[in-house]
Amino acid sequence: MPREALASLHEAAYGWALACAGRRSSDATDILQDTYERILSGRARFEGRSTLKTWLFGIIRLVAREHARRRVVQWLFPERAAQSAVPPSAASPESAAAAAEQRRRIVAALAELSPRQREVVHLVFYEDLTLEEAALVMGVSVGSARVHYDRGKREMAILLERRGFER
Amino acid sequence: MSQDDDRSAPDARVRRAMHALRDGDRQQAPPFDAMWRGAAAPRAKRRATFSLASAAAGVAAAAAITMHFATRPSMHQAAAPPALSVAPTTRALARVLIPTELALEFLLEPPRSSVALSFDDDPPRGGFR
Repeated sequence: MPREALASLHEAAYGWALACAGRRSSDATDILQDTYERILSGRARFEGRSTLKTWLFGIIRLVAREHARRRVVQWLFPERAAQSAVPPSAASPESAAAAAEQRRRIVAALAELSPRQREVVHLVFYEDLTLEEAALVMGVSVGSARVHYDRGKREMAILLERRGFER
Repeated sequence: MSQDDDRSAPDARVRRAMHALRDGDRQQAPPFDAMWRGAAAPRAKRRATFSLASAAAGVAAAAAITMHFATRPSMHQAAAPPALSVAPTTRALARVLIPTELALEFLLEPPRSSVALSFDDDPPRGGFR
């Protein structure tokens, strides 16, 4: 497994780990670390049956599920996660506050989607994966992914509008 | 507004929102190198611990096997009580040391038959005819 290939996907992987961890950054870091550990130990092996990105995302999703089983209580309260997801910023206090507010609205809108819808919206719009790739990562058929995608996208657009997200 | 615009408007809004989220997330992503090293470190530690543990287990198992065979009463001894009261450790040591000493003696000392042959080939002078 070329280390450089994984390094190039690191930021995207972190974003996906965040999504899988209910936007808790410390959990996302743990999940990603655990994923890398599995790759290093050979417990997760890339066999070229998909792209490296979909394979990596599939592992992250599985690891996140294991972590979630251990932390069921936190998983049930996404509101708390939304509050803790504001990143530090080097921008001016006003623009940083505006960006943080915008992010808070997006995260709150995402939290209202069903888990499947949230996953497919993240994979397609955030990671720019195709529906086929998203279905691979989610372990569902393309048809099922498409249904979640259509409903999730429509719902997300309404939620963003309702929350005053700037177009 | 055309029908295409109606259809693409939610897409564009969701995409813009998700990209804004992504840009913020990427700023706070921890560095790859640190995470990779962090993932490798516990593995190396576990491997070292495993090696130590397996070495210790190996030594313990070898000692247990040696002691088992060394202290096990033979068929003759099992029936009759021991004539002398000897500590099991002493007996175990004796059972290891005596065969070792015999084996060394056999390996290091030349066989008696070869000594005898050399006498035949080159008999000592004087006293013999």
